[in-house]
Amino acid sequence: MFKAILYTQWKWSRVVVALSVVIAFALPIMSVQRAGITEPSRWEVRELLRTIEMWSVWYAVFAAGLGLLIATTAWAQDHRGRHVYALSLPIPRWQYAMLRFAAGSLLLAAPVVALWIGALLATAMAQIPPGLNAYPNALALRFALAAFLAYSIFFAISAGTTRTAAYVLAVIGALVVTQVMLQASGMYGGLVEALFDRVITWPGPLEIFTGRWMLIDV
Amino acid sequence: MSNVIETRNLRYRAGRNFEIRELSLNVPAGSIYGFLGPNGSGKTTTIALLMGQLRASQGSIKVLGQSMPEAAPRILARTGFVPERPHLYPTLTVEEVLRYHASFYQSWDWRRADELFGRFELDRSLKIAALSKGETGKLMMLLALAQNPDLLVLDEPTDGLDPVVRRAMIIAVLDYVSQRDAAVFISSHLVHELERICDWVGVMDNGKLVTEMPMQTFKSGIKRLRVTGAPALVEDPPFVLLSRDTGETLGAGEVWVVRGWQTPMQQYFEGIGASLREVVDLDLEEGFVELLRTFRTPRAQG
Amino acid sequence: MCDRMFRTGVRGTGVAVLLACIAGTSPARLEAQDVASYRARVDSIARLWEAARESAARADSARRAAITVDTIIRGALVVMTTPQFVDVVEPAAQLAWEQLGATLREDTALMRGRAFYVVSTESEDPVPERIRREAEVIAYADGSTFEDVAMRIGQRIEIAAIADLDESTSLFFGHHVPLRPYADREWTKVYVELATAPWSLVRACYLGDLGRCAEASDVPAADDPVTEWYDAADRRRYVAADPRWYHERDPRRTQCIDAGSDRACLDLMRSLEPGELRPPLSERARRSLAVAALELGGDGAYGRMLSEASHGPEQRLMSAAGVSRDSLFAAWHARVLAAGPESPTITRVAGWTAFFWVIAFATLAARSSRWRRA
Repeated sequence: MFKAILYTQWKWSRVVVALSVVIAFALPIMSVQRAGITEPSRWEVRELLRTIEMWSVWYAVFAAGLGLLIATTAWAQDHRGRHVYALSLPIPRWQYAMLRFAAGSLLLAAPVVALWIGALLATAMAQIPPGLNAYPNALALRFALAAFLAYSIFFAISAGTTRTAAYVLAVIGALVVTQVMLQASGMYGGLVEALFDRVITWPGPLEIFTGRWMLIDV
Repeated sequence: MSNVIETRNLRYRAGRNFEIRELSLNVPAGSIYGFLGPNGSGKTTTIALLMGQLRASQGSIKVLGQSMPEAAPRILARTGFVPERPHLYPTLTVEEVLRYHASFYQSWDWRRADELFGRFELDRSLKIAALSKGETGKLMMLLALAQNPDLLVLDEPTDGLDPVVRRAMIIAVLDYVSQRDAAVFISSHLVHELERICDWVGVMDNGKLVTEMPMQTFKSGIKRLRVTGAPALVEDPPFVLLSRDTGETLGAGEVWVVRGWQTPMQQYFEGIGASLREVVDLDLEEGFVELLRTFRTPRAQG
Repeated sequence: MCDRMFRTGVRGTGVAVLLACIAGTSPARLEAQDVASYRARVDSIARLWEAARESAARADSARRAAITVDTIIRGALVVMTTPQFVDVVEPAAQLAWEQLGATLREDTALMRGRAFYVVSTESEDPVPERIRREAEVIAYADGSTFEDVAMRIGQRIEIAAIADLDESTSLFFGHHVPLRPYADREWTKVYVELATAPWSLVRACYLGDLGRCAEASDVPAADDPVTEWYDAADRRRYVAADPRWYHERDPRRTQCIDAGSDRACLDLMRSLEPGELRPPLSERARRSLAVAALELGGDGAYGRMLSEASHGPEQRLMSAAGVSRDSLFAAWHARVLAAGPESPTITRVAGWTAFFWVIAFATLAARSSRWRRA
């Protein structure tokens, strides 16, 4: 049963998975292309760190985008058929959802492993200036956690009904409207910022996205 | 187990203008139950309730002796379902759909699947999206039959198909039933089609079950009578007068449509000073139409 | 003469005179003039110019005299501004004073006698003469927050404070004594510098050789900086990184870098004027030494640093800290290492928290409704 579900999900998201494997492998290698300086000056080291830092943003964006795409493709075909087929199968709904979740997770593992290998290769090939260290394992672990987290968030939203998605959007919309009204009335307008802070700082769900995504760092 | 499907006082509201009300269905084991009704009468909604895809606001549903939706997976494992609209994943090929579907059913019969493949002349390498309407219908029927179900629930399975495909599908269902002694619950508005294969009939209209009876009773009980010399007002007839066409021309007489007719009732006409000229058996479609007409305007009984 | 008039810089009031000049020098008119009439005309323009200038000066004085100035006093800090900016400047002065007080403690009294006039860059009011004499003018951009203004005040005080010190100390700190608490990110920058600097002295310092830290900071002052600060490999790197020799296309640069001639490297680096050769530790890192010294010295540290009895950066730092050189560098080194940036590795807590959220959202997904229309 799992094999059959995995096969369908592979068929639906194989382009995304294949592309993301390539990107995941290339990203660390491209980010350290300036690291081949054997005797760098202080300015070159800083430039290197700045470059690595600039690239680090893309790891987070990539993890979030990948999670979104794999999660939505897992449910897209069922949404299109209004879930009639899925619901006529002799399997509890929670089990069906978990099988789809597990299949998506397995597919997500491919770009994660690709990024890990890419990071290991990139740091092994680059001559890292003295004083700096490579963190391929930490970066791959952070990417894995962030990608799986994004995947699980979007999967949960996709697994819901249209009404659930509407509720999520309505809550976000209400927050923005409240913020605008508070600001217009001259009252404290940091509601959205305060909530956002709670979400991105420990123990908020998105904290993993806000750490240091550095492949090479001091 | 006397009934494979049993609902009691089922209620479900779909939108503002439509509601399934006090639906109590009884589908006997081993029967082929024709579920008739005009478009929009609530047949598909009722089937969605039976298959556990909609939640009834009131009442109970038992399928194959188990409660729906509590025992949905167990019920669905023994039920072959062909929905009204194609629902299979369009990006998969026929072969892939077959393998996917088979993986969910322990009772899956590959031999039957292969045999039906040959009979339906389907191409395994075609994508679902590329199948014609008839091919899609045949594939859905194949999937439902190859899982060896004890109950087949078919929601307008032949709607929009050409006669050849319709015939092939009906034969496949009848073959299966004769081998497995399975029950079939088939909805359609193609009355002629059901007339030939069903032994029970249930009629829905506007969210309510109008009647439910053996097909033979349904067909034989409805007659068209030609009557002359009947008074304007008839009282306490022994049958149900469904309609009365009083436009008597050239002495041909009035046309009455009645339900519950039996031959000894001829004497009734002598008692009211009228004369019965002709008794005509109605086919299922005519009976169906007259039944609905009576249901919608009960005063027609006159 | 007209040229001279332009150079006086009183352009605002000279517009009319300018027009007169243009009219007076037009070719058609010149043809018809003899020398006497030309001289008379020039004299007349000069008189006009004088009258205009006097008039402008009188108007300017009147405006200056009419400007009302509010004085805000926080401890020993005196900040003046015009009434319309009080709302921003008052909390800024308060904040600046609190920041200074945190570092200077009882030595804030040494600030006495310094006054600052804070004015927006957009303001069209001239600075009153009296204020010009008594206070330093600090301009801030319109729309700045009071924190920005407090920072500008703090910076000016730090720049002003260096004027009290000798030249070698001023050079050591990069003309800027840090009197406000160092933000954590500043210490982090020093950490990054120590960790990534290519110079062998700094590398050794980073690894904990405090003597090397002192040498890299030029404490005590080196007799031959070129050889004491940089070894041969460092010198080659220094020459390669310095753009001046690249632009001059000095052949010694090629010898130094490509042929590996240390003599050429030495020649080039010794050709620099005193003060032009950069020590291995940057000004930021050296300034952080002063911050560490003031923190370590506690009450009176700033006063001891300013004391006339001290001279040169080493003496002033030791006096301020009130401890030996080794102790100062040990404290500084510990402070720098403690400010290392957040590691890219994931803490156990962060990892498990993320995992918890993955499970939480997966559980939510498992509760997906089986109803097509709930």
